[in-house]
Amino acid sequence: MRFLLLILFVSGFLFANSLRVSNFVDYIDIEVLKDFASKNGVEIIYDTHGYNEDIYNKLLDNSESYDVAFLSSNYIQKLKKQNLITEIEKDKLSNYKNIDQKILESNFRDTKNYLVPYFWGSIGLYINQSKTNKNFYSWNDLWSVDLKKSILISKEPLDVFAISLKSLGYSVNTTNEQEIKKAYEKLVLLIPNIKKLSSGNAPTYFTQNDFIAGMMFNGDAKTITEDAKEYKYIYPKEGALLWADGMVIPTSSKNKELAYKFIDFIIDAKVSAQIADKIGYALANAEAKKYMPKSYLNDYIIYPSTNQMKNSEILNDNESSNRLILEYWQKFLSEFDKYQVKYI
Amino acid sequence: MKNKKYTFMVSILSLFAALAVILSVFLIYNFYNRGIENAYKILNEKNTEVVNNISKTIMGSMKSVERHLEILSKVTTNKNITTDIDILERVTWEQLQSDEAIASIFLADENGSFIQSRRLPKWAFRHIDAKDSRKLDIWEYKDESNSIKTIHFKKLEYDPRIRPWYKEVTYNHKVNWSNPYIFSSTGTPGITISVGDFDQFNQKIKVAAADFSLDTLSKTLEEKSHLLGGDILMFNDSKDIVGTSKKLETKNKEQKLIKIDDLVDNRYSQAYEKLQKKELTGEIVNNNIEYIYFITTIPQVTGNNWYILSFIEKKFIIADIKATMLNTIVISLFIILMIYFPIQYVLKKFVITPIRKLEYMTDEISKNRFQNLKPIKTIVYEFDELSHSMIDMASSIQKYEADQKKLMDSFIKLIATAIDGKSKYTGGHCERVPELSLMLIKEASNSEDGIFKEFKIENSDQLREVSVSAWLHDCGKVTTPEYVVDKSTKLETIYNRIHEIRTRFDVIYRDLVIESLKKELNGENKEDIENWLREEHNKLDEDFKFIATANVGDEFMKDEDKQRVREIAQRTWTRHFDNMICQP
Repeated sequence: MRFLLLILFVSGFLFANSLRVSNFVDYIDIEVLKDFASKNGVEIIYDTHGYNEDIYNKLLDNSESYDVAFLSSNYIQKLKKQNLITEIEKDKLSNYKNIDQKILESNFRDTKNYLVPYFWGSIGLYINQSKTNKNFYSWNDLWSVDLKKSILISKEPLDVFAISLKSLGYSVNTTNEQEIKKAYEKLVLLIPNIKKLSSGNAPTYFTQNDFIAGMMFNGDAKTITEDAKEYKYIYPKEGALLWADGMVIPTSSKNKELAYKFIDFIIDAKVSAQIADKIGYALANAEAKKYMPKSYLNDYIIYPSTNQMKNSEILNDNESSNRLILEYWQKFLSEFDKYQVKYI
Repeated sequence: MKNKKYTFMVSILSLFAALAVILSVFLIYNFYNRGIENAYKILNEKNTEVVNNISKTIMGSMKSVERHLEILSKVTTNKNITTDIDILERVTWEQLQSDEAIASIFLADENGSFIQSRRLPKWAFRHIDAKDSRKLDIWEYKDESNSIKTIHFKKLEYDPRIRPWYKEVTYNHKVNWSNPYIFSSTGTPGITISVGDFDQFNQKIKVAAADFSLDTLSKTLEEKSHLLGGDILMFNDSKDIVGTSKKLETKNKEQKLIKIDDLVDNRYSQAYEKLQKKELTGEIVNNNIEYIYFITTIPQVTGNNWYILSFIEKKFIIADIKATMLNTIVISLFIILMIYFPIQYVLKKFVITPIRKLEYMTDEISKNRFQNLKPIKTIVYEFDELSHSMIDMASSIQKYEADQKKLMDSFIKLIATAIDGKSKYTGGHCERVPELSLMLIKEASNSEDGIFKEFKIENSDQLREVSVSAWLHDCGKVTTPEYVVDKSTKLETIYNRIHEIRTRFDVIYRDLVIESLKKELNGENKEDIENWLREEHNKLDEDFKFIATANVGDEFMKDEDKQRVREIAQRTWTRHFDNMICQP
């Protein structure tokens, strides 16, 4: 026991020259991390989180200290409101000019100085067409009786509610309690169709298990559709859910210098291009686009057309409605568990 | 005290108790001795079984790890293990899952590349690409479903090729088992087993190895120690403690790889000494507690022998036997008691009660109460016979009494009749008195007048009393002289006839006087007459004295005396009166 404590104690010193990062699962190229570690002679402790709520709560109760965290726009809004993130000193980022300002402005209106944009994308419908004759083009199709115990739904509460709201024709950012309540009730009706609630490893569920449809990040979708044509990514007619992620430096960071080094490294055009190639999402880095092949730039999954973008929305942080949604989410989870027990 | 009598029940109980106690003591003593012997034998067998089990389990475990490593060392053919990193990751991951004793399983090649799936401190996959110029040591921390949660990118400082587990493996020694040491990852003891892969030129290509945690060994020992009821320790020739069934206190608190000498508990050093003397089993005392120990050698591991040492507190064996003994005693007593009551009941019913009844019968008989006698109900032949005998006896006694009565009556009648018969004048009287008395008594009894009101003859005994007393009312006459009883003449009596003889002598005396006077009348000499008279009178006196003396004297007379009496009887006297008219 004492030996372990000794290790931890010594590691504490090592942490002084180590970078702590938390990012979404499968959302970077490992080689990039290796390059950074080696070039800077630093250690990296790279945590992964499945969904925003996860990392947000960690930052909230300061259970872990991170130097760089990757979150979605609405959660960055939350963090800013909580004063948990530092303002970005742009002069510390030599590559800041690479950033696509339009993306920054449109997606991170009130937080734009507190993050460095990373990638953006959508959540849409995902179908394994070989398993169904039906044509999918709407969120409502997920509620179809043909899809009993065959769909994948994520664990991100706001995202899941957003889809339910969209299927009802409401805005994802509604504050109307009745609408939110209806969205909850509609979600409960979806339970019999849900085969799994998961945010990570979505591609695996489709390729290795018999999922027919689900909601999925477009990048995840791309990794499978590359290899198999029966998988389709669809922008639903009610509108896809848009998201944009950024890198923040939490106030609790113990090594802000190293954080800036890391972020700067990420937004290097070639590095961003390398990541984009790996993860298949839309770049927020204008400069990096120059290094991307045409196939990437023309891929509708990554860069949807204006038509496909119609009715799409991005989540905005709203404390009261978010709180309500989170409450309903807990209820939903318990209903979901009850259902599993009943219908083993 | 000498003549104190004990009831039958007491005797039976004492006999019973004495027998039971003697038997029990003998049996229990026997049992105790055998018990101890057997217990030791069983303990020995149990220990052998447990140790064999442990040995098999551990050796089995290690062999299975060896097999894993053989597979791992051959699953890829490329001299650079990082080309097949995905497959190696999957294989090592599965192998790690399959055996809890494996703390980590890893592979290194001649380049210095290294892959490892490890369990502690957290599930992780570690890989080093020695050919990657970035020189990183990457640790991927996973969750149970083998998804990556965290990746640590560390500076490469580790070269597997210089580690003992890698170096010790040679073409001639393809499988290596290390000595126990402390794992840096866990701080607990273990050994590393390594297996090498060699090319056609006998050059080392790669080495697969696994950290085998001795904690699981200790867990196995702990499980088995419960079976055995004692403590188990495993150690090697170098006195390293390889595993233990319970946590042991060490003199030096810091050390992790404990040697036998580091232990506070002295038993183990003592046992090691015994091992040196080749005493593989026996007893050891520590802190006044007696232990039985066994030492077993495990087939050779590494170059060093491993041993399994087990300790069992002697008192547990004895306690068991003592407890059983106590149980047996209690149960025996209980059984004895259980048997006692039925026996008591049976004895009482079939022996005591009949005997009491017989006792009562004899009592009744002794009190002459013959009427209530009945044979006793019993299944016991002897008692039945006895009671019938008693009844026969009772009736004999009754008959005897009746006969006695008859005899008595006959005697009474005889005496009364004899008494009566003595006098022909009062005869017949003895028969009439009883007859009349009974008539009177009966009337008196029946009468309710005056004083007779309270007078009642109640039973035949009382009548008999009256009858007998009536018969014997004159029995006193038996002592009355016959001459009083038999009253034929007033003067008739029992008479000493010497007085008649005396009277006759007196008559003769007078006759002589008369004769002398006659002679005087005749003119005879006076002096001569006086002399003759005196002489005749003296002769007469002497004769009378003689006769009187002879009358009083004994039955037997001398013949000359009898002759003299006859001569004296010749004397005659002159009778006047008629003796014939005296007869009635």
